[in-house]
Amino acid sequence: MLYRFLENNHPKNIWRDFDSLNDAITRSFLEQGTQQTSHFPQLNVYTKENEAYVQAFLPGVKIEDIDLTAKENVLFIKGNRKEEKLAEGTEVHIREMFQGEFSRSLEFPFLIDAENIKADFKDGVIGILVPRREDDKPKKITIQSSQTNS
Amino acid sequence: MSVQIEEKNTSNLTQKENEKQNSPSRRERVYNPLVNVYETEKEIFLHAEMPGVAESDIELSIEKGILYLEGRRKNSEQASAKSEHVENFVDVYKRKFQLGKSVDVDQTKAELSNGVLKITLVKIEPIKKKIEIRSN
Repeated sequence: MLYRFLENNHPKNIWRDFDSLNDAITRSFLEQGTQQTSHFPQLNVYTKENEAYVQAFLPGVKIEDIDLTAKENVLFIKGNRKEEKLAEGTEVHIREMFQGEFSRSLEFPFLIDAENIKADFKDGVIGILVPRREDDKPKKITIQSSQTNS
Repeated sequence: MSVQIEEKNTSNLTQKENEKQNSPSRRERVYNPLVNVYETEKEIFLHAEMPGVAESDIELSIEKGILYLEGRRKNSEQASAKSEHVENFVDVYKRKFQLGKSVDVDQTKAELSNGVLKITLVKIEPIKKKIEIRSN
């Protein structure tokens, strides 16, 4: 099966690029053991014959800030991880967590039955069950034997 | 200003512990959670990302000025499903921090909110006692 991840399309913001570059450099020096999160959210995809189960890791994101949509064979996960409100005079020592807008899309090798997608959110992980559309499922064709009894 | 909390000996895969706790079939995958650390006049806040970890599977302790955090994720992989693409392999989130300032251990609070563990440490002023020197 072929699954394709489409790139994050963050709005262009030079400061964000600069920040993330800066973060990446700092992290590569200081946090060599830290889990690399090149994408936010991280996705795990498990498949069965005619459905897929997607886990999207969205710690610290509120459910109302997540926008989940499906069109044809693509699932879109968008949202905003809002900046934590800090009291005045707060000093920031370490900031590794992603913040800001995020968007990831996942292309499926089948047409999605959008009406029957089930999603639940628990402990910062959305579990999404993505079924294949009924009319997209392969049809079994009975082969009739044409033996001639002669 | 120096960093008040510094990381202590970051070993990602603590092999000995893995072998001890896990079945021989698969080694446990231990990762550092990503953190944010803030400090105000009176408190230190440490937030750690632990998505998929239930509150009951988190262990938090402070010993000799080192804060240990550990969260175990019960994987919800379905046995019959095939892993098509995996970006998050975590079985256990584990990290420790050396606290650069004295904190009141009894007043430490922690809550889990949408997969983020939020720890509040209350700073205490180190007690300074003047010792008189008597001359004979």
